Amino acid sequence: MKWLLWKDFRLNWLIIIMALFIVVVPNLIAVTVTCYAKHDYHNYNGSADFSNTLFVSATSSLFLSSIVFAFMGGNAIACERADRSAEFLAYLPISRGKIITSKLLVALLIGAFIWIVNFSIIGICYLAVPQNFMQKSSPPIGAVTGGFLIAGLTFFCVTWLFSCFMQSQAISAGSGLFTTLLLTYAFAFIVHFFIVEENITIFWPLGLAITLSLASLVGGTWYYLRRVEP
Amino acid sequence: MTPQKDTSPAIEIQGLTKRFGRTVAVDNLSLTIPRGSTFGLLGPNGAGKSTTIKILMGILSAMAEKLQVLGVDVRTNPKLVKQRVGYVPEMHHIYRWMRVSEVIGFCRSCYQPWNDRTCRETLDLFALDPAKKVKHLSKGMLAKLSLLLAVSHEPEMLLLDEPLSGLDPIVREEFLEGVLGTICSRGQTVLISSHMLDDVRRLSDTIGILNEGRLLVQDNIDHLLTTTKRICATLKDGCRPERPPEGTIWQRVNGREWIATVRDFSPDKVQQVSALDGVEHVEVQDLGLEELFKDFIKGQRVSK
Amino acid sequence: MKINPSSHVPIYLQIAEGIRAAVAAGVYRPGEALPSLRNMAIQIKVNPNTVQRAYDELEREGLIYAQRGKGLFVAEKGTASAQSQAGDGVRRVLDEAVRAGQAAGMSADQVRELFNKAIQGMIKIGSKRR
Repeated sequence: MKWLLWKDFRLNWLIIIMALFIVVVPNLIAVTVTCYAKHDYHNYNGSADFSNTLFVSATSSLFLSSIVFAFMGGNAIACERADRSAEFLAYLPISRGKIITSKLLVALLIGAFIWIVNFSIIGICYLAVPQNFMQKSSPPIGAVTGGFLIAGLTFFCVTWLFSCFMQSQAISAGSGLFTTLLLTYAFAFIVHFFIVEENITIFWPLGLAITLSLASLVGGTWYYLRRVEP
Repeated sequence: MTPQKDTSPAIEIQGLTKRFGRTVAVDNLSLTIPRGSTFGLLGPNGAGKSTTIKILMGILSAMAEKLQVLGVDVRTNPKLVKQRVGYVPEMHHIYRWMRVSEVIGFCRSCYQPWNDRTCRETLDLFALDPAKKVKHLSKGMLAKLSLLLAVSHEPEMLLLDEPLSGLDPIVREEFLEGVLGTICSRGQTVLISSHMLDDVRRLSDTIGILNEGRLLVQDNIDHLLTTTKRICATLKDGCRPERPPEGTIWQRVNGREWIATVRDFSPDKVQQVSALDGVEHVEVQDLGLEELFKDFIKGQRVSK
Repeated sequence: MKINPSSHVPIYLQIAEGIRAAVAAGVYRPGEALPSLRNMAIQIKVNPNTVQRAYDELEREGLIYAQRGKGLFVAEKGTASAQSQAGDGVRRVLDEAVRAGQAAGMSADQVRELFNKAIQGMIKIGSKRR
């Protein structure tokens, strides 16, 4: 398993670099800007400004990470089909279950890194200056950050589904993104026209996202496990 | 239920059919290969050799009544087949970014057992640089690496799919030596598909000729070559040949010359031809493997 | 030893012929060991089963004998027997030449003339053994 994980990490090297980039750069910019502001602006308000800027950067990072998740899902299985190394892997005595587990584990680790770092930053900001966040009007921070998390997860799962069928990482990622957005818009359209305003709650988009994610992940994985060709 | 590992055939195929869309790549193929033999699978390009081998390795789906490798059904337990068979594919798609040492380490973790000594000795024999990346290996070195990976896990059988195509004569020799070395040490069954007839002749005891997904003949090489002969008859002016002798696989008339390639040759068949009215003179010729191969293929094409 | 895979002659017979020729020429002397099965197979690039068949054939002829655990050795009268067998090989080639001449429509005298020319060529090249 160790070698499988190493192989999958190596195959996702670009994704890892992207993840590092979107985690480090926005937050670093926030820190730099705030430090600079400390010197220049007279109405600097100490930690409150740090917490504001870092909150913005961390949520931006989560927003950007949804694209990284899309690429990660698209890359998962299709990357080995693109250069046909899947055919090499196919004649080694490794079960499909192990291959898929390794890929999911690597995706989980990269995803966890992005989320843990950003949520920690957001959490620290909140704990340091809680009153800052109480003043914020709707939507609440939980919804915003949670929304990006769900979006990332959905993008990953839908692009994963395409990756299980297709030969190209780029097309899998693109198709997955397109399909998710299309379904979301279509769903929103339907909900807007058929459901009464008062009954529209957070659970509609949440329900869609979770259903779509589960169906895609399970469907794609089941197909890949059953398929004989690499 | 424990399968009789020692006595079951190495390969047992019955009624194998594989379609790619409307093209029939393998057409109701039945083939049995006993353990310990070296089987040469011959056929022109597109005959279905690679397809059959991939199906045997469990990397292509197909319909078959029976599909067993070393007593194991490939469709239900492909992992066990892959564990026990050493496969060298026609096209090598080993991860190009890995180094030779990393490829070996990766494969080593998949197989039990893995013979480190065989691996090291073969690495030295083939003079492969462990630090080199796969993308920097020449075609010959890639083929040798594939063979190294195939033999290092002590397989009971080797499946070689056109392993010599595109290799220069020196690398071909090294590769053959590698294969022979492992046959001598372990006495395993080998199936080699190729259209390099000379190399197949050297390596194999039995051959099978495949064309358009169908098996035309399967026999011991020496037996086939000694019992298949060409009967060359000179025809009298204006005469056409009548029915060819029994067992004719291919015949041709060129002016006054009538040539028939006949299986299960016997002097009676020569008498039969001599006795025909239109025949003036009869001669018998022996065939080499290349001519025999071509005649089988041409014969099947004509009979369609 | 040169093996011709394009020929119709079974490989094991070609190997046997090659070893006979080698013994006749003194490459392997009586009492000396033949190369092991493995070494011979790898050297001439032929399946070891085929080499085994050739060795079995030669053992049956009495050209070689097996010593348990030590390998195969050339028999005492090996050289003489090999030379007479080599004679059979030459006869086979001559028969083929005669057949070719016949097929080309040549007479017996014409074939004989060609044969004499060939013998003269052999004497010119010279041989240490007569």
